Amino acid sequence: MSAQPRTKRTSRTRKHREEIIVVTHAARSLGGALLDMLARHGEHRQLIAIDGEPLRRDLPQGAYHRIYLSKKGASRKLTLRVPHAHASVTIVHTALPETIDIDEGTARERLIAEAKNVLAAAKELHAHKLVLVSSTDVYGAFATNPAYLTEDMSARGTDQSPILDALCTIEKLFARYADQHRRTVVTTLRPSTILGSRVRDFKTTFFDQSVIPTAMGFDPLVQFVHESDLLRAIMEVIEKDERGTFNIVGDNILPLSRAARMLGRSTIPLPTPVLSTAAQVASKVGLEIMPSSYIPFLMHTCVADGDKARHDLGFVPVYTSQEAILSFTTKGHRR
Amino acid sequence: MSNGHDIPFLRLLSAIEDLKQHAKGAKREILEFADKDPAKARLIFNVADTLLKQFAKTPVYRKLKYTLDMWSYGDEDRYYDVDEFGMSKATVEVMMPFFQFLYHHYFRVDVEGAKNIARSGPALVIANHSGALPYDGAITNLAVYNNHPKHRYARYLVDDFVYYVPFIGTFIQRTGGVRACQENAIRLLDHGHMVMVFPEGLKGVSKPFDERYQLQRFGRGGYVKLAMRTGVPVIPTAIIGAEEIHPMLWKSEVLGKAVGLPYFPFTVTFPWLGPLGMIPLPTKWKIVFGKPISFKKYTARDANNERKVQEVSQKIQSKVQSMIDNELEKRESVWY
Repeated sequence: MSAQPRTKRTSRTRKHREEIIVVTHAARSLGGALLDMLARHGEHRQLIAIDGEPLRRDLPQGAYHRIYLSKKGASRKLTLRVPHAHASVTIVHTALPETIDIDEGTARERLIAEAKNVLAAAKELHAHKLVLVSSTDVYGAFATNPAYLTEDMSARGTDQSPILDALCTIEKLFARYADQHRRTVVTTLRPSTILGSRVRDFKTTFFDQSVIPTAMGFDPLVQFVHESDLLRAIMEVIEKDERGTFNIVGDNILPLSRAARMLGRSTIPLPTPVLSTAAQVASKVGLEIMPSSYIPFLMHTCVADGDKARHDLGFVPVYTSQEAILSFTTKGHRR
Repeated sequence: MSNGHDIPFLRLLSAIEDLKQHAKGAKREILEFADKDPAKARLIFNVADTLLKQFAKTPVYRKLKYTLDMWSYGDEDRYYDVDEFGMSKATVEVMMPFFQFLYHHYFRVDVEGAKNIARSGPALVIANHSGALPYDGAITNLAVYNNHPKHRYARYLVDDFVYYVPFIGTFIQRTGGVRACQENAIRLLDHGHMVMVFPEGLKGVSKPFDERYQLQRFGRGGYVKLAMRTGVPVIPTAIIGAEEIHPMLWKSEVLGKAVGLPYFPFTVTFPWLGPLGMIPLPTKWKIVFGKPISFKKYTARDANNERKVQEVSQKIQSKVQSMIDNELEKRESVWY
């Protein structure tokens, strides 16, 4: 990132001011896990949970506000709800959707509208820090990918899927915001597929099916990150002022077929043309298997390199990809 | 189990045997109890069941199960893991006998200059490419493997198109192929691998028969840039015999596009003999590893100097060509 701070504000100078952390999509599994983590570490912070869905939990150190982020006027509502006058505000925005919409085009519009509202609110609140949780999928799955994708490579997923196009656009919006507001620390985290006992999104659900569809003749390499590692990375970013984009990935890679075997799932290899039709039919019927635009991820490798986070952020993953899988299989709700 | 109680392992076994006996007795007693007083038994079992289910929901149970699972993830499982570039030891070991057969009995490979194979540390092997199907890559790899005292396994860079082809792309990746690009190659060399490059690329594989042993253009000198950036030595290598395994008469790019390949070959045997035509002709091979060329004197800055890169590339190309010509003169027959 070219935007280097002229005067780097450390957490020491911020100590005088009250800290407010705004968590968007708080009713989702990742948001909930993040709220728990924040509540456990740092009693001095005030938490504000934002979601359109009702938050089914208590929040002793903060408040929950029901705001549909994608709706018009959400940014004004958000600004009014956060008592920002004497506080430094941090906004954590998780962009990757939890479930698949049948119409990916609409999902794209919604995701971008949410991000725009968050940025508008951040401008009004004079937010000190913005944390965007994106995904390594923005690099796209291509046969021409290098073995390890680094942060300085362009995000080519735009052409592959409307959801990824939305994510790329959101990342660009955040980057532009960072250019315009040099005093705001803008950090983008790109986690690979998240596995763990709590966090659920459509990629996790894909690995939780009893039969995993694969592309015949293709066996891409995949990598995972454990949810606790991702949460630690987010905490690290909240504690430190580190600008830029970071891949958050677990060590080791493994073939998709092997991941399925370790999860105790059987795979059903389908020829590639059939696969896209099958995914489209399934989504029409209402089966949430995977977005049809994600099929390249069953064919080609999209593996990211976590060295930058290791060096600049001091983030070292505790779980390897294999360990993340094992902890996923031993989670409580499935025996 | 009564004797040998002083040996710890046997003691453990006998303890397990005792436990089994106890468990059998306990099971019998429980069943008798259930027969005698069904109502009371049902109550007790229900309570126990609920308690167990509650325990299964606790983090303690999860932690315990996770630890046990990590234990059971032993060496046998790690055997099937892939390395950081997707090579699987298991696949390599499965394929090894077949390629060793080709190496020793089918192509009867002779190796010259085995002492030039780097003992350790990164190195680039630059060789001529040919033969419609890239047997030369696998066999040269094996030549390195067989002639290295510690059986070094070199990695080879392959063209992009391979990864679009089902089964083939995955197979090549599992056996040590890495997609050819600067990022991958630099990472391989940084991690101390020996890397094989065929700079002729596709043009080399699809050489018509009458142009055999005439090196095609050595790409845009990507491998020279690579050597300059990393400072690793280049080992020029000549492969004799591989250019006659599939004498190519003609190739069709239009037909190739239809089947998803860069070109469709018409060789002496293929497609006339059907799948049998894919069997290579049993030529006699000779692989010559040349003296390593040091790249220590170049810096990363030189890699941006296009003229210098071309110059060095030309020099290495003519070196390989002269090695080939030299060997061809000495050779008496294609077959023995």
